[in-house]
Amino acid sequence: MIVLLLAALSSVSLYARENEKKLCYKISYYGNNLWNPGFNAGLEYPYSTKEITDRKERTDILQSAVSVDLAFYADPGSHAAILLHSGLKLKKITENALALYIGFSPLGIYRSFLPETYDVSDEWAVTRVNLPGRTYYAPNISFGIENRLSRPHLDACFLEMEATTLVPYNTYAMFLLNIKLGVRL
Amino acid sequence: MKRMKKMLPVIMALLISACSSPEINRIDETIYLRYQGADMPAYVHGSLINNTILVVLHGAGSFGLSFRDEGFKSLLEKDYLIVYFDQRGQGMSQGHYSTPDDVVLAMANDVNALIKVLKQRYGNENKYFLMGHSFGGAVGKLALLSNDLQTELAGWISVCGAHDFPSIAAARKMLILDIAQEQITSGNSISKWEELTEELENLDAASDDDYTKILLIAGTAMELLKKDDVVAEVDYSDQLINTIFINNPITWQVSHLFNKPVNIAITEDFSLTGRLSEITLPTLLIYGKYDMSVPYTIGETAIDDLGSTNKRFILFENSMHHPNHSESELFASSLTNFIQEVSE
Repeated sequence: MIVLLLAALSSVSLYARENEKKLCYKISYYGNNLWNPGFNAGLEYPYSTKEITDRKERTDILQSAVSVDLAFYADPGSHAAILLHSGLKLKKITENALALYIGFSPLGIYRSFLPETYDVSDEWAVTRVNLPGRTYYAPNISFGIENRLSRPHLDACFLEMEATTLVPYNTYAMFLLNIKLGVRL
Repeated sequence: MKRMKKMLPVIMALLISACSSPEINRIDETIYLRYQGADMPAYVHGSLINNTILVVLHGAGSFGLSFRDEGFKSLLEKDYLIVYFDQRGQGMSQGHYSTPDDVVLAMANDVNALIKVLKQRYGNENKYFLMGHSFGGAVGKLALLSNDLQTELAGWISVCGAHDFPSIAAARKMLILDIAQEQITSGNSISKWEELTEELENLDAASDDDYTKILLIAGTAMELLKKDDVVAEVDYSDQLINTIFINNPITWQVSHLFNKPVNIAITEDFSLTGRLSEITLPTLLIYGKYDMSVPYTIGETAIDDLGSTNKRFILFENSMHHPNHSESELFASSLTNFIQEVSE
């Protein structure tokens, strides 16, 4: 999983250097379960763009993009975590510079970081755990809205909701509802 | 300059308060227990000034910090170190593991593991007390009966604790009928209580279908008691803060969705009635007079069956299922008296 994600990240970065104008960088506030504070940084590369005109002669743009995101958040009092995920985004960009999009990131990994943790063995021996935390497979879906800005170094601002599943978590799964509010550079 | 002079006393007061020494021996930290695939947080708050540690086991669908209201913070944490524990598959606990064959026993073993960790972290010389609320009472009692845990503890406190699930529905039905009669005699919501009585008399407590119906009637009855000010009003502000900002509500509810050990206890007729005589620790049983989740009559029976020579039963006259919230001062003083007496 990590290898796949790193491969995706490096391929997007490589493409970035070759196609400087198309690649976008994103930074945003990341609110885990809405309000646990965090930060997200990502890359987005639109690989396909198609114009569609409706009956009222309005022309929208359908855009497909590859994205890679790295997020960090802290849940005060219990844990912190980082998420790395990669996937596709499908955007519909309207004439008035608004865009709606949905995303699916099947390649995701989540690592929690816990405070001081003690492991107890079957024989009741207690030992302190180094770098405590858990790793989970973490695919997600997202939807968002962005407002395209015609400013130098500022491509758009966006608001995104992201639903992430952590598996296997306890006996089944855990769902996280995260929010991103940021800008695309 | 004049404005600065006016601000000076305020600035001085802030500086003095900032420099005042923190509470001696105060501990506020979160540690995790990793055991059998689960990572379970223990929120530790309070003081070791009396070398006494109280471990709190929450009830079904709840979480450790649900207990941490003003009563615990201002009355108990100043004297004792309180460990609010999120049990396996509950609250903020995480990890990955297969569903244990015996979920309640697995949770009881977690308690034993937690005591081992606390003794390593805070020292073996402290006195350790275990407290379980509702389903946590069942987990706690099973923990006492497993792994020789009683030898590690100074006392056991059961708050509205369950231990015999097959008898709860019948006890619940009887209690609601008794309360209905009491309320009708007192002139409170007479027609409503008469309706509930009639509805309840036609239900069979032994039937699985009627179990849920009796629970729903209990819910209506509790609302009536609140409306008529029969039970003490509860301030939920601390719980709300703990629920939203510390115990993440989404994580808590999703955990609860996938892990409902109390349902297993109900369907498997979990009972420790025949083993209560094996509990010989000093024991305090606390129940609410109007608790229709775990009726106090369950505790009245248990107090006779317990093997402890030092045991007491306290009925909270104005409480339902959470006497710790509704009569917090009496709750704190009851615990303090018990702990002091046992510690002497």
